[in-house]
Amino acid sequence: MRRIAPLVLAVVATLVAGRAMARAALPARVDVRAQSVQLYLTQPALLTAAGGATAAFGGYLLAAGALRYDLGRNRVVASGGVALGDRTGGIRGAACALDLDSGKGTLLRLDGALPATYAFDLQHPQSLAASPPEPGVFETQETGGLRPFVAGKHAVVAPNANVRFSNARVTTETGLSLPSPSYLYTFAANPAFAQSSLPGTTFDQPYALAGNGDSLLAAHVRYDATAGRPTLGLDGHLVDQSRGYLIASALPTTLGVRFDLAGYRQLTPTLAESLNAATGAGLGYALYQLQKTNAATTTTLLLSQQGGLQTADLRLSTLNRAIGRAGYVKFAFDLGYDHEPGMQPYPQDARASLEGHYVTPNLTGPFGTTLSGSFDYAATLFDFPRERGSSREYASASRRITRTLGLFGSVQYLQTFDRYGQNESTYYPTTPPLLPNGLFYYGYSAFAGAATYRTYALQATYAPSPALNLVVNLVREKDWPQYDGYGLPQQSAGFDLRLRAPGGPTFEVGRTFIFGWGGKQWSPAYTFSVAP
Amino acid sequence: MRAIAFALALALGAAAPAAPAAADEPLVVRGTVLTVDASYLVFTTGDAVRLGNFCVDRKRAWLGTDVLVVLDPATHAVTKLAVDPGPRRPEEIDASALPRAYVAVDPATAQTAPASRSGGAIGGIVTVTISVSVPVDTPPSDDVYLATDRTNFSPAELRMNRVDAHRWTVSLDLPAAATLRYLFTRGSYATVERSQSGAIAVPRTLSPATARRVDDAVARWADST
Repeated sequence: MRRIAPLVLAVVATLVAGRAMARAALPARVDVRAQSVQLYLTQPALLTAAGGATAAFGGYLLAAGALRYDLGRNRVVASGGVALGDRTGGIRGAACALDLDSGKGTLLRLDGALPATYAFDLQHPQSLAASPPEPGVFETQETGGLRPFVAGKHAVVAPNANVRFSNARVTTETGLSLPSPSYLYTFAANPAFAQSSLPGTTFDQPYALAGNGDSLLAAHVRYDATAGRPTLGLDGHLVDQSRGYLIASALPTTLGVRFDLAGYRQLTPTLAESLNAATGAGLGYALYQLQKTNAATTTTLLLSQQGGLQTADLRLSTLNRAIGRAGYVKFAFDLGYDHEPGMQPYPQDARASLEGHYVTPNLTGPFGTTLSGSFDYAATLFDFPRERGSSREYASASRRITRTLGLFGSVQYLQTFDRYGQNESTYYPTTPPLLPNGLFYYGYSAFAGAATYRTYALQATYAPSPALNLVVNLVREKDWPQYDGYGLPQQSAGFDLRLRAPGGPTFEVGRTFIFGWGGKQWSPAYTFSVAP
Repeated sequence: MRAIAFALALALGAAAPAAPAAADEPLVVRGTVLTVDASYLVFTTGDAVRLGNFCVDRKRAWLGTDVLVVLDPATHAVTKLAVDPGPRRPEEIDASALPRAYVAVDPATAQTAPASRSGGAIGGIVTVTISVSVPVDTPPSDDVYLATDRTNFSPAELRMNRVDAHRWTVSLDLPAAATLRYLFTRGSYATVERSQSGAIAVPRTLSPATARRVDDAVARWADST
């Protein structure tokens, strides 16, 4: 009993301490009301309330003429007839700053002979101690020149997770403000919330429906230029701090509803697993990966099923290793097994792959240029008579002309081959295809699985300020096989312009001219994006 | 004792950075308002200045409002006030550099030094340049993007500019008081950066008030095998 007593006492003391601290712990929700409640997407996000502002949290009520709630730091600054307290009493002042995490605050009073500040603790708010304010305690993010993202009269904050407005007006990326009976803005710090299992599309506007610090359910209003119609998707996130996430989504398509799943979990500091799967709308695949990373190598187990094809791979690769000052090398070895019932002539096949990668260090070239090069080689040998592989030589030169203008040029030669030995003609028939101009492409008759892709690219970047950024690309593709409309355009010239109006968002627009390739002068569409 | 502390505060105030205005010239101060009452205007630095006979609209929600005030050199009281002033002018000083003699404060809570937290740069917009070195096995045709908490880490938020084969850079205008959290990607979350061991990378943090240029390095990408 004597041995147990100290342990029991320690446990009780811990529980008591825990209860004592519970009052000061971060509240589960903060209910903010005012004549005007606005959300600004500053860094971090800021909630402002003006005109009879109140914030109710954890049994306390903070009333003031105006308040500002730093959602990233869980700090509230209030001013104008401030009253803070609970049922047992409270304090009054001209302004106050309160850290919701610690429950500690600073009160400014102007009702004495001179302005004075006092430190207080939410647990004993009446115990004021005259004290100079901590540096920056009353400061919050600036909002001058910014438009509020959401505006309303009532918002409920779930600290470190989200804020839900009721009867709000939401500013869209187009600048239009739309009414919304309820709007949930998630500012949870976990970047896994940005992960999506929905397929890529032309436009995607998420609309959060429900969530907390570890979960989020969102609708997605989407427009796919290829399908030419708007769709409404749904996805749900579960995140486990930085250890993992699981995302499921549903999206109606012309072929039915498509369901996607994406997950990742860190099992140990060096062992992780991931899963990606999709079903419906003519799709059916799953890919599972287990990866172990050591100081010098990465070992990966890959299991996949796509339709009737099942594959398994065990891959061992080195990390990028420096070889003195001569550059970097990386090697990989992969053993794989494919199984596809009913596939002829062999329903199963084993294969082995070897890959090598060499990169030069950055070298100083003539005319103030910086030079770099790399060489890659990969080959796969199948049990069934087949060999497949590629080699790539890449060289680049860059030069900064002025502080605002830079040039980057590159040359890439990529060769691929896919040989079936005596069965070559079965897989690569020599029937010449018909060109868009009505002629046959006779040169294609020589194609037997080996191809060459040569890319010459020149890029100029003009970036005088964050408000203006222009990138111009000139590219020449000299490939084989490549013919009118098939493969990449032989010449292309593109631009990407980023502009930001003072105090406004950044607009980015880009397009590529392809010099009549396949009867078209321009790439199919503009690229357009808006960023803060 | 309080009198001694007050005298000490005033003496130290004399040693504070000199305002550009001469002793007999009005002092022009730019700052952000915490609160206003009948007698005082208080900046978010915590420093109060006397309003004297100057009247302000006390019904207005002053919290967070940028102002320019003119202080009388003799009475130290406000003689003029402008809301949301335009570009900064040379004769202005920041509220964080307000000479202590102008500050109305109870000696018991007197600050003995200017309240400056960031050399006066807490306000305004500053340009920050982020550069990054990417792993040498990064596909050469891929672009590198910055994903920040401004967009809840949208993976293709801002395309960076290529410097050479392995380095990228981008400049951003950010509020000086902001804290930016960011990650590097190759345009999608499947190609977001990871730690050397392959674990989910913790977003980097940048405070423009303390760093205008940062050089980062990506250890590996999520799709590295």
